[in-house]
Amino acid sequence: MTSPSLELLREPLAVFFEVTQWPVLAYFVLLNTSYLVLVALAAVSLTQHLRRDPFAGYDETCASPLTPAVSVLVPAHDEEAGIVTAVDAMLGLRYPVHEVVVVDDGSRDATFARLEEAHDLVEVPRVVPQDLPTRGRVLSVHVPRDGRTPLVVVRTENSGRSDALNVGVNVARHGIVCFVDADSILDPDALLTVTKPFADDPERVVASGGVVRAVNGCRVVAGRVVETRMPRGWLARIQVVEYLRAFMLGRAGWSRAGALALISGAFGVYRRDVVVAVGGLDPDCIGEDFELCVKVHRAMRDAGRDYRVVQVAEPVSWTEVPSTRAVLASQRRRWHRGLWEVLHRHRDMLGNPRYGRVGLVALPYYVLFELVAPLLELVGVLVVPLGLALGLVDGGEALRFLLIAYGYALFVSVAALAVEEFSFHRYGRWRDLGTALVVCVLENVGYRQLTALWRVQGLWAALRRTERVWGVMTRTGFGDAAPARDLQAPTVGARHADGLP
Amino acid sequence: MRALAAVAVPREGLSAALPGALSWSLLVIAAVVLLLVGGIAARRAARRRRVERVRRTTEPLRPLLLELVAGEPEEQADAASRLAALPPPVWRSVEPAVVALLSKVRGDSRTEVVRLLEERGVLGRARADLRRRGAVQRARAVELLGAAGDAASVPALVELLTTDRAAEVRIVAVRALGRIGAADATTPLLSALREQQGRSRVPPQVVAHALLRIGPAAAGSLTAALAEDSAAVRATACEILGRVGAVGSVAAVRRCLREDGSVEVRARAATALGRLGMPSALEDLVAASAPSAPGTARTSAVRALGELGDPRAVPVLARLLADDDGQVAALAGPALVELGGTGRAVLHEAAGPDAPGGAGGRGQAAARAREALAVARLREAVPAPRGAAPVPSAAPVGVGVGA
Repeated sequence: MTSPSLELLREPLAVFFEVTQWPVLAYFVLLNTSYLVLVALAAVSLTQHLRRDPFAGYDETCASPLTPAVSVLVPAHDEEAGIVTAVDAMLGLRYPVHEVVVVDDGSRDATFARLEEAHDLVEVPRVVPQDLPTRGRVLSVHVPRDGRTPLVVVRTENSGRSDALNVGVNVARHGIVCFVDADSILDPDALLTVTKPFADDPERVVASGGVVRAVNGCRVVAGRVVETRMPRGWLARIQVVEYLRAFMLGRAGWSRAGALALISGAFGVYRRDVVVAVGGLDPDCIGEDFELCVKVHRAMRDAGRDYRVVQVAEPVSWTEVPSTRAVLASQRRRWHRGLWEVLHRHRDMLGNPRYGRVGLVALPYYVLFELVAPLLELVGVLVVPLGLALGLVDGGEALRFLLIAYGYALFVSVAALAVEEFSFHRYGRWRDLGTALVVCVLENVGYRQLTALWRVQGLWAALRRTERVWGVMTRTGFGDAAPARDLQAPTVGARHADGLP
Repeated sequence: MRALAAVAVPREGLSAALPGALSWSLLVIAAVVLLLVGGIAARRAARRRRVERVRRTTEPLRPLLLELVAGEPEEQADAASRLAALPPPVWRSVEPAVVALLSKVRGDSRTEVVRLLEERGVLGRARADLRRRGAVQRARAVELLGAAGDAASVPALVELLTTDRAAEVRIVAVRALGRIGAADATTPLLSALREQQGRSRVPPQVVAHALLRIGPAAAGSLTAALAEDSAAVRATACEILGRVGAVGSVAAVRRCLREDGSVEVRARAATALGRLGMPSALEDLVAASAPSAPGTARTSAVRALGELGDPRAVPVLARLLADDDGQVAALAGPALVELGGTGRAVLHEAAGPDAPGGAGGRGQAAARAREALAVARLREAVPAPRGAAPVPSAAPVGVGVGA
C-alpha cells in the first residue's frame, strides 16, 4: 500500500520514466564509453612517457645555459604558516635560471614579515610594467639584500588570486611563467619536467600542466615530499583517489587526445607573451584557471596558429586537500560555479569546428558529463526510491543496474590505481594500497551523492548570480621547525581561489 | 546519474528486452575489477622481489664500483677486470649502475667505465641497436653511445639525425653528437634546423647546446652558416658564435645585424656582438637600438651595448631611459650601470638631485634610473659567492634559444 500523496505521483512518474529511460541509458553508455576512451588514451600516454624517460635529457637541460628561464609566480594571501618553506623550496628547484615572484596579496598576517626576515628583504624602486591591467595597487617591491637571490616580493592591496597573478606576470622577467599556489609543494625536478614540452616543441607549445596530487598524510621535510602515504581521514583519502583519477586518467587522456582544456591553477606553465596577449587571468571569474586555458585555446585558434597545450604525466606538485566537510563543500560549490561561468562565457566555442577538438569534444564533454552529471545523479537519488515505492521500477533490476553503474565507477578508480602502480608507484606501502582500494568502493556510498549535492548548489548559485565567495584561507604550513611532519592537521580554510582539481 | 540510470529499466521496458544482460554486465565488471586488483598486487610483489634481488646482487659489488671510479690506477684496472669477469646474470643486475656512472665521473675513471662497457659488449649492442625497428630502442642506444662519448658512432648518429623518422631519435642524436664533441657534425646539426613544413626537424635549443659543447671547433662552419637560407640556422649560428667567443666572425655577425631580413636573427646577432665585446660593433648596435628598429632587436642591442662596455654608448642609453618601449627603457638602466662611472653619473643625473636616497626626479627616466642604481648598489654591497649563477637580466626575455 502506498499513501494517497504518493499515488498522485504515480502517473507523472510513469510518464517521466517512459520518456527518460532511453536518453538516460544512452547518456550512461556515452559517459562510461568516454571514461574507457580516456583510460585507454591515458595508458598509452603514460606508457610512452615512461619508456622515454631514460633519454628525456633532464640533466642536459639543467646544465644548458640555453634553457629558457622561468618566472615562478606565487600569489600569497595570509600564508604566514608555510610561506618561507614554500619559497625556499621553490628557490631550490633544479633549473638553470629561474626567479620566484611572490605577490603578497594584502595579507593581514605576518606573511611579508616572515619573508622579510628569512631573506633580508629590502625595498627597491622597481618600475612594474602594466602589460596586464591590474586592480590591486602595487605598494612596494622587495628583493633580498644580497642582490643575487632570484626572489622578488611584491606587496599589493588585496585584490584576489587572479589579480595577484596578473601583477606577477607584469613583474616577471622571463619568457615562461609558472603559476604555483603558495601551499603547493613541488618536486625538485618539477620545472624541468613541466617545461620540457617548451624545449622539445618551442614553436608550438604555449602551455603545459603538471600532475597535482594530495599531500595530506605525506611526510614532508624542508618543503619536499619525502614519503608518500595515504592520509588518516576518509575524506582526504577519497580525494587522493579523486586526484589520481583526474590527473592520471582525465588530464593525461585529454592531453593525448590533443584537447586539454584545463590546466590546474595549483601548477601551470604558460608562455608569458601568450598570457599577456589574452589579457591574463580574469579577476571576476571564479574558475579563472580553466578560463585562462580556454581563452588561450580561443586566441590561438582565432589567430590560426599551430599550437599545443599539453599535460606532463609526471607527478610534480602536491597540494593540501580539504579534510573537513565544510571546506570540501565550499570548494566543490566554487569549482562547479566556476565550471558554469567558464562554459557559459565561452558558449560560442561549444560544438564550433573553428575551435577544433576543444570546441567539438572537450567543452561539450564538460557540459554533458561534468556540469549536468551531478544534477542527474541527484534526480536519480530522488526518483528511484519513489519509483520503487510505487512499483514503477523493478527492485531487482534497479539494484543490478545500480551495481553496474557503481561497479563501473569502481572500475575507473581501480584503473587509475593500476596506472599509478604500473607507472610511478609512489604509494609504496601495502597498507596504503589496501586503503586506496577500500576508498574506491566507499566513495560511491555517500561521498558521490554529497559532492553531487554541493555541485548542484554551486550551479544554482551561479544561475542565481549570488555574490561570489572565494573563501578564507588559513594554512597550517608544512612544518619547518620539526625535521619532518605528517600532514594530518585539518585544513581550517579553503584556498582563497581555486581552479578545478 | 548512476541512480537515475536505474530508472531506465522499468518493469516492462528494457528489462524484458535484455534478459540477463545486466547480470552478465555485472559479472564482467566484477571480473575486470578483480583482475585489475590482482594485477596491481602481482605487479607490486614482482617489483619488490626484483628490487630486493638487485639489491642483494649489487650490494657486495658496490666497493668494486667505487674502486673502478675512485681507486688508484691499479685498483681501477683490477676492479674493471673483476667486473668484466662477472657471470652474465650478475652483470645484468649491476649493468645499470655501471652505465649510470658515465654521467657522474670524468677523466680516467670515465675511460675505465667506457672500457668496461666495451668489454662487456654493452656498447657493441648499442651500436647494433641503432638499426632497431623501435624508435625507443634506437633512442636508448643513441643515449648510451652519447654518454660514453663513442666517437666511432658519429657517422651513424649523423645518419640518424638526418634520416630518422622519429623526432625523439633525432633529438637524442643531436644531444649525443654534442656530448661526443663531434666537430664534423656541425654542418649536419645546423642543417637539421632547416624548416620543413614551417618547423625545424629538431628543437633549436637542443642543437644550440650541442654546438656549444662542440665549442670553438665549430666556429668555421657556424660562420659559413650565417649565409644559409634558413633563419633558424642563421639565428642559432649567431647565438653560438657569440657564446664560444669567435671574434673572427664579428664582421659576418655585424652584417647579419645590419642586413638580415629576420628580426630573430638580428636580435641574436646583437646579443652575440655584445658577448664578443669588439668595439667595432658599436655603430651597428647603436643603429639597432634606434626606435625605428624592431622591438626584439632593440632590446638585444641595448643589452649588448652594456656588455660591450664602450662609454661612447652612454648618451644613446641615456636617451633610451625614457623610451616608449618599456622593455627597452628597463634595459637601458642596467646597461648604463655596466658602463661604469660615466654611465652611473648619467643615471644619478636622471634620477634627480637626491638619487642615492631613492626619491629623486619624476618621470619614467628617473624611475628607471633609480631602479638601476638601487639594484646595482645591492649587488655591489655583497660580493658574489664563488660559482654563483649570473644574475638574470632586468627585462622580460623570450622563450627561444638563448633566452
